Amino acid sequence: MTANQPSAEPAPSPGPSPSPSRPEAVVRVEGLTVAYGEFVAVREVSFRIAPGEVFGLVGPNGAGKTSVVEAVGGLRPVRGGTVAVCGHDPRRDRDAVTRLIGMQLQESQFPSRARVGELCDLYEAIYRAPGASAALLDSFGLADRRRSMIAELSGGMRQRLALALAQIGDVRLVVLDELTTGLDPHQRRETWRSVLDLAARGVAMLLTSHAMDEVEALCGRVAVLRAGEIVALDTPARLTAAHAGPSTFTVDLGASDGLSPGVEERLDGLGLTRLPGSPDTPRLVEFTGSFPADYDRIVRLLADAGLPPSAVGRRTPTFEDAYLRLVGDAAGNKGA
Amino acid sequence: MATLWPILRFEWRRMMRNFAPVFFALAFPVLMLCMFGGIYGNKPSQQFDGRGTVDMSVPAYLVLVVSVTGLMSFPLGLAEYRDRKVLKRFRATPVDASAFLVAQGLVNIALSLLGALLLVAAGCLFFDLHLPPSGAATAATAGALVLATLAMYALGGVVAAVARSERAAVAVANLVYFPMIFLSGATVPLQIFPSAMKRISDALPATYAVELLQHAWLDGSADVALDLSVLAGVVVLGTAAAVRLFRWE
Repeated sequence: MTANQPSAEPAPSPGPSPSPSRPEAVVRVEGLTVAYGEFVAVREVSFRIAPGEVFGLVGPNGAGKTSVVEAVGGLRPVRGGTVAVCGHDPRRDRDAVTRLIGMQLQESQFPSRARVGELCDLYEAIYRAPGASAALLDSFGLADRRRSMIAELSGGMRQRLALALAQIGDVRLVVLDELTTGLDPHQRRETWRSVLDLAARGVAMLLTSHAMDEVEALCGRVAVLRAGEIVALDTPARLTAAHAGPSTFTVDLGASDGLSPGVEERLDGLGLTRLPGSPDTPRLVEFTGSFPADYDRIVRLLADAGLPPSAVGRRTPTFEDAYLRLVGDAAGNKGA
Repeated sequence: MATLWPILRFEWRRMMRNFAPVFFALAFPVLMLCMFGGIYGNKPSQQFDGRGTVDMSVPAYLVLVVSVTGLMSFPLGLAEYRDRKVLKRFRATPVDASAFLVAQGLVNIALSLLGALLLVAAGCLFFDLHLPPSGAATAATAGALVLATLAMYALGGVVAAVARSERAAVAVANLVYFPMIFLSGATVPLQIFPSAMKRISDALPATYAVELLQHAWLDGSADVALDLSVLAGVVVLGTAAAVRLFRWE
């Protein structure tokens, strides 16, 4: 399987791995098309999510992430293809599917003038799970907040409350739409830990985000959406390797002055692409190449010339680079 | 529906923390009554065809009590839930999101009922209010109150349906509510209005609700066909328009 071909099969999750024989998918989406009148927002999208897998959905605004999420949750009519959650059609089997899914939706606020405990009681009644919130609030560090008004909670607490509520009942899939937007770094890390804990308990997760470090930290596999279509689907690591482009190596020739003349020529002789340098730093030369193979060649050459290993710096491309290349011009043109 | 009860309890608690409707449905009409009753008492007055000021005011204030919840707090509650995507959040749960709309309506009506009881109790305790003279008049008053309530909530539903945002709903609700309570006789008796103002009153559904309630309470023999048909028309047309135009997001 090449990395740039969308693979619809669940990969082993980073959490406690499901049995080697392929686990029954929690979510199965085949050829999903969602349209609003003439406008096709999502076209022929297919993917599966295994129990305990955190599946990421990324793409520029307007690429169709929320439409996919809403179709999975049964909130959006489907123009073509099929969606199944634990084998149920989310539109026709609303009763069964809403019990299996906990949803945290982008921009969906809590009711005003309510206390944390009241909202928990309400969710317990709706999901017929009396007492379920006590342990959840405890594990999310909100146990002493039952009497607090929701308006008094910090953004991070509110997000954790949403995560806790999304798990009340016998939930097999948690949908997290723009999970940590607006949280500070500390709160983000706390929320991430909660997500991974949840995955470790075997709950499947569908996550959308604009923060690629978040997707990389949480997701077993990621689908990249562009203009309603999946342009790549794989693990973040393989997407990075296949699409992020070459690494950049910077050699400080200043360190070689008076030591070994001709280092610059020998570096050029390696056949790597040399980037146009800056006149401000004439002694810094930059090459692009692969990591680790080309990097090792540079380090060996410099070692032969008697230069310290610190003379070479490298910048390896990240998952975000891969993402930006994959969504390409579409992002720049459409985002404006 | 087994989950309606917990939803009602949830919405009732939120309602009791909402200062404006609680004040204007429970306290404000009683304060008005204390003010005007304190000035004029309940002695028979020439201006009111021999009725006492308090006897005329209490049935009129009942319209005030149902208007503030029906035209303000009910549509604003719906607009908040829709605008802040709270309805969408609940649509993703096993409960039917319309249960929240129903619960908000019922909670508002309950608040108005409480306000009506307080108002009547204050009238009886402090101002020698005459209750409807017969069982039939009591039933007619109750029926008139139900009809007035339905009419105001139907209009409130239209406000929630046509307003494109929560802020627009606040603006529209205020534009509908204030003329409705000040120009209909619900707060200020129409008898002191100049005739030009009365023409505006004739265009307001609340005017007919005030008239119907006063007739039902005080004067069983009056002809209320016009009042009944206007209010029934508002209920039917308003409900149909609200249901047709309401958007879930």
